[in-house]
Amino acid sequence: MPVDPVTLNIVGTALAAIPREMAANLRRAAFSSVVREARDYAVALVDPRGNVVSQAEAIPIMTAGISHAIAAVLADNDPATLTADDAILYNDPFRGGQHLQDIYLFTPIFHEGTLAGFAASVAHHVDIGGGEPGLTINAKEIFQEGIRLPGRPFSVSRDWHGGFVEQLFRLNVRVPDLVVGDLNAQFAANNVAAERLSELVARHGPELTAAVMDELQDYAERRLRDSIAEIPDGDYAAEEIIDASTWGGDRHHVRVAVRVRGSDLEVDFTGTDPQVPANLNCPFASTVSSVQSAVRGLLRDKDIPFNEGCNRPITVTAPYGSILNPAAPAAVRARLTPASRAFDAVIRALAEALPDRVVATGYDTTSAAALSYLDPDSHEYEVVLEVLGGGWGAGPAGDGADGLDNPISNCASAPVEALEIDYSHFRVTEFALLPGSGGDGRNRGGLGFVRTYEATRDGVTFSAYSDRHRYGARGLFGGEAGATGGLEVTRSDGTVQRLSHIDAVTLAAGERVSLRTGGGGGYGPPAERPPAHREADARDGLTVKETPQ
Amino acid sequence: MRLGVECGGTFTDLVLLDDAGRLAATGKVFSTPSDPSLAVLEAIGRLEAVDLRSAPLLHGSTVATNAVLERKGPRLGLIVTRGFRDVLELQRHDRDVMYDLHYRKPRPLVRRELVREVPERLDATGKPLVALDEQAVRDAVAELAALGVTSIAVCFLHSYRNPTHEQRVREIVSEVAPALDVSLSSEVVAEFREYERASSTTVDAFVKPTVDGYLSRLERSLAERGMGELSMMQSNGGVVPAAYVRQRPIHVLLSGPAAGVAGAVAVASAAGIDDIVTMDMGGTSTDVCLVTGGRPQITTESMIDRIPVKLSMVDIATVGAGGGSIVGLDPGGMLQVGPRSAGADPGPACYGRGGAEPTVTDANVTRGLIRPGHFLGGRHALDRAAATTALGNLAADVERTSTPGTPAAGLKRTPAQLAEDVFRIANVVMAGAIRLVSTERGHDPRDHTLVAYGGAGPLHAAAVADELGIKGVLVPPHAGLMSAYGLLSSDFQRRFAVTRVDELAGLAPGELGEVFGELLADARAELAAQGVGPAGVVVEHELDLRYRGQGFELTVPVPPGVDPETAARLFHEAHALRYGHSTPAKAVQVVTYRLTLRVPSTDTALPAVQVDGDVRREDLPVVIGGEERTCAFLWRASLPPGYAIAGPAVVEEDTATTFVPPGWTAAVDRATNLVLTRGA
Repeated sequence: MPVDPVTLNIVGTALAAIPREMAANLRRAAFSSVVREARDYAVALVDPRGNVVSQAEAIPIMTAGISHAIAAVLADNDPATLTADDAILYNDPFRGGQHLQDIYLFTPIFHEGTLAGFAASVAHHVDIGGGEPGLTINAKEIFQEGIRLPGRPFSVSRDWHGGFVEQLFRLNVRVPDLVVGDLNAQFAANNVAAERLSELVARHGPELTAAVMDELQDYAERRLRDSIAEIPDGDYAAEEIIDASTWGGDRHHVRVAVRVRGSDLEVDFTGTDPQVPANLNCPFASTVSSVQSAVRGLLRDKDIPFNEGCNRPITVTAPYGSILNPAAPAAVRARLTPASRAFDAVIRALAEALPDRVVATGYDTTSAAALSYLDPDSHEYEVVLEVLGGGWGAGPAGDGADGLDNPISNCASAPVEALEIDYSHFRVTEFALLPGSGGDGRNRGGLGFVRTYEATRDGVTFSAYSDRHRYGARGLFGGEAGATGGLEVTRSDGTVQRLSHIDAVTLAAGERVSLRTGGGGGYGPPAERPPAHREADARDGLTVKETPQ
Repeated sequence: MRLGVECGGTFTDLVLLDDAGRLAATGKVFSTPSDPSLAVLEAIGRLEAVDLRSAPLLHGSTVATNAVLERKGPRLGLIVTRGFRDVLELQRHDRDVMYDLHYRKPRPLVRRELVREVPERLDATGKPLVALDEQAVRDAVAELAALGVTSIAVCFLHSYRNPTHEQRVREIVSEVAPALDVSLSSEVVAEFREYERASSTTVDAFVKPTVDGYLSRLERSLAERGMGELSMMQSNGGVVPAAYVRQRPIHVLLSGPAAGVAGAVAVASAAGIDDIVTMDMGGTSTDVCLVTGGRPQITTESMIDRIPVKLSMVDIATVGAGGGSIVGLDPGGMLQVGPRSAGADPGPACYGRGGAEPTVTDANVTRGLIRPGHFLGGRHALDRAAATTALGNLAADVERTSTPGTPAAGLKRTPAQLAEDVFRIANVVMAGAIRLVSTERGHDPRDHTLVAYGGAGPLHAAAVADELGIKGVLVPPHAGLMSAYGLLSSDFQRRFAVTRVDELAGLAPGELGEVFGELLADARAELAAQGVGPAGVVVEHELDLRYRGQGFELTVPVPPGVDPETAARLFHEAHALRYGHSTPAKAVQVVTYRLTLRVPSTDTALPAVQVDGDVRREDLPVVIGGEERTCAFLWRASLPPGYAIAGPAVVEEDTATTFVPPGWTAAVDRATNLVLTRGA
C-alpha cells in the first residue's frame, strides 16, 4: 500500500507520539532516581515482525539496543503463539542485552485478535542482586553481577502481581520496592502503547497503519543513507586504548576498520583484544549503540528519527570473545569504558574522511563512584552512586566543552546541597574545573574537573571505576592530548595515597578522596591558536595549572 | 479608564477599558525589540483623543527577556564558597541535545575571571562549619571593583538555610565599594540546588539595570500624561507594581504567554468552565497551557537562553507552528510544517512583501478560509493569487523532485488540496503540544475545553479538538487581543518560598505553621514596604514534599496551619494522582515552603463583543474535503447572544477568524463568547 507524504506525516506523527507518551509514563511512574533524574531508560514501538518503528529520545547507549534485544527474543519465540496476557522480561548481555541492570520488557499488542506490534521498554534498575550494593568492582564473571533473565513469555495475570516472577525479583534484589516499582512503571508504559496503537489501528485501519510503519523505516533509512553518502568512499582505521584491568596486562586495545561504500558503512572491530576477567567487557548490543552514536554525531542531518531503518545501512562486526562482543560468563558492569573507546575509535577513523566534522578524542569516560556506609546502630545502608564525565574533544569550529558527562551517556551531576541534605556520611568540599587539563591546539580540548568527598563518619567505603588514568585522550591534526584522570586519598595524617582506576578504600571521618577527570584532546597545531583565545583563557584562568592549596 | 499594553514578538497590542469595563479602544503596532517602550508609547500616543489622566497601565514586556537573549547587561561579578568557583561553568554536567560532538554549553552571565571564592562553609542545617573570612571578602570585592564590575551576585552553599554570611557580604560591599549593586541568592530564591540558585541570582542581577532604566523612561512618559500607576505582568500570571519589579526583576522574565492564559482563565471561569486548555496561535508559534480547577499549571523549573531560572512560571508548551510557519518537504520526503517561519518580514507569500515559500496562512487563504479583504479588519489586503502560486510551486516541486519509491513519487496535488494537507499537519503539530501538557503529565484533554485565541488559533481550534477528542471550544471576544485583555483581568500576585528540609514525622504538630508564619511575616513586611496593605490579601499555602531519597519534589497545596500528618496524607494523594502510585509507609520530607499572596483584581473587566445590528452573512465557496462547498461567512459583531449556526461556517472579527467545520456547531453565549460544540 503506497503512503503519500501527508499521510506519512499524520500517521507517522501519531506513531512517533506513542513512545513519547510511554517515556513520560515510565518516568512518572518510576520509583528510582536513576530513571527519573538520570533518564536511564528507553522505550519503543515495534512492528509485528520485531522491527523498531519509533523511539523516544533516550541516552545514546540505550538507543540502538532495543532492536537487538527483541530480535534475540523473537528468534526463540514464535509471535503466533503469544497472547495478550504474555510478557517477556529480558537482560541477557550475551544475546542482545546490555548489562544486567538494563531490563527489557516486551509485550505484544493485539487489535481485534491480530498482532499489531509490540511495546518495548528498558530501564536501568538500581539493583539486580550480585556481589555488593552499588558496584561490584571486582566481579570476574556475570554470576557475581546479578540475575540473568531468559527471554521466555510468562503470564502477567498469573505470574506478575504477586506471582512467581514478581516474587523471584523480590527475593533476589536488595531494594525490592524500587526494582518492582520500576518494573511496574515499565508495564504502565507498555500498557499506554497498547491502548494508543489500538486506537490508531481503529482509526486508520490495519493495512494503512502497517504500511506507515514500514514507510517510516524506509524514510529513516533514506535520510541516513543520504547522509552516509556524503562521506568519501574508502577504508579507514583507528585504534584506542583502555587502561589495563586490575588483573594485569599493560593496556587493552580497541581496533576498528571502517569501510564506506556509497551509502553503506561497515564497521569491523577485528583485532580488538580478547575479553578480560574483569567487568570491562562490552556486550555486543552496547557496541552497536556506540557505533550508531558516533555515526549520528558525525552526520550533518541531526534529527533523523531512530528506528530499524537506521540499522540497515550500517553493519557492525566484532570478534566473538573480544571485549566488544564477549562470551558468557564475562562480567560486563563497566561496559561504558570499552563502549566509549569504540565510539572514539569510529570518530578517529573517519577523521581523514570528514576533517571538518570530526572532533579530537574527548576524555569520554564514565567514572562511577559509590560512597557507602553501614550505620552500626540502625544496620541500614546509605549508598550514593556518583556518575561523572570529563572534558570533550576540540573540533574544527571551537574548543571542546568543559566538564560534561560522557557523550554516549548524559547523567546530571547531583547538586552538592542535595547530597548533603540527603546523606550524613560525607560532604563535597570541592567541585571545580582543572585548569590546563584540556589538550592544547588551534582549538583547545575541554577541561576535566575534580570532585572531592570528605567522610564525616568513620568507616565510609569509597569504590570506583574509571579509565584514562594512564593514557589521556589524544589530540587530532597536531592537537595535544588531554590530561589523564586520577584518584587520590588524603589520610588524616596528611599523607596522600594514589588509587588505581578501579579501586576501593575505607575512610575515617575527615579523610578525603579526590576524583579527578581528564580533559579532551586539542584540534590542530597549538601554534595556530589565535592569540585572542589564549589571552581570554589566561584571563579566565583556564590554561594555567593552579598550585594546589 | 484602565490600559493594558502587551509587547509580543511581532506586535504590541493595546486594550483600553472604561470605568464600567467596556472596551473603549484597541490598538496594534509593530513591536520594537531593541527598546519595547517605544512601541508602548507609540500605541498610547495614538489615543490622542482619550483622557488618560490617572489611568493605570498594566504592562507585559519582553524587556528583561531580551536583555538576557542579547546579553546586554552590567559587568557582573560573583562571590561563592571556596571550592565552588566553577558552579556556573560545570552547571549540572549534562547536555540538552543528544548527538552533537561540537556541543557548546550555555554561556554563563559571569566570566570565570570575575568569580571569586571566599573561605566560609555552612552545613545542610545552616550551621557554620567555617566562619566567613571577612578579609577575603574585602579583597575579593576590591579586586572585582578594580576589574570594572558594577554588580555583584553572591551565592554560598546552603545559604537558603542561613543567609547571614551572604548578608554580611552585602554590608562589606557597602563599606568597600558602596556604588556596587548586590544580589544575594538567599533573597532571589531561598531554595536548594546551588547551580540553579546561583544562575537565577546572576540573571536577576544582570537584568536589573536594564529593567530599571526601562521603567524609569516609561514612568516619566506616563507622568507627563498624568497617567496612574505602572504595573507589570510576571511569569506566574500575576501583576505587581513597578517598584517591586525594580527590586526583583527576575519575575518579569518570560511573562509573555502568562497574560493570555490569565485572560483565558478569567473568561472561561466567568462562563462556568474551570478545566481548560489554552491555545494561543500566533505568527511563528503556538503556546498551549493546561488549566485545572481554574489554576494554570505552574512550573518552577524554567530556562532563559538555556540558563536555569528558579521562578514560578505558568507552565507552557510551545511548538513552532504558527500562521507564518513554512511548509516544505524534508530530506526524507515527508511534508513538514515549521518550525521555520516567514515571520513578519517578509511574511507569508500572501502578505505581498516578497515571501515566496508557502506558509500555513497561505494555505488558509488558498482554501478561502481567510478572505483577502478582511484580514486584520481589512487594514492589510492579502494577495490570494500569490498564496495559491506558492502552494502550486510546492506541489510542482513535490512531483518533480520526488524519486521513485518515495511517498511523494507520482503525487499530484492541486494548490487547494495541498492547502488542506497543510491545515491537517499544522493541527497534528499543535495537538502534539497539547498532549505534552496533558496526557504526558497524567491529564486527559478530553475532560477539558479548548480556549483558542491569537490571530490564527480560532481557525484551527475545532480541528485540533477533533484530533484530541475534545468536544468543546471557546473563542473569547477579541480573540486576537487576549494577551492585552489578560493584563487587565490579572490579580496582584507575589510568591515567596524558603527551603527547610525535615522529615514530617519528626516535626511537632505546630512546626509547619511556625515556618509558614515566619515566611508570612517577612512577606507582609515586604509588601507593606511596597505600599500593599493587608486588606484583601488572599494567602495560599503550598509545600514541596517528597519521599525520603527521591531527587525531586511535588508541590502540594495545603490548608493554613496544616499539621505534619495531614501534609503527609495530602502528599500521598497528590503522588498517586500524578504518578499513579503512592507508598504511605515511606517517610515523607518537607523540602520547600511556598506562599502566594494575591489581591484579586477588582472590577474585573471581561472582553465583550459590542453587538451592532442585524446578522451580516455572506455565502462563499471554501475548499473542504477536496471540493468547494458553500460556507456561511458571518461578521462576529453582528451575532447576538443565542445565535447559533451549524458548520461549515466562518466567523470573522477584526483580530481573528474562527472556522466551524462540518459536524460542529457555533453558538454565541450571554457573554458573547463563541462556543463551538462537536456533533450537536
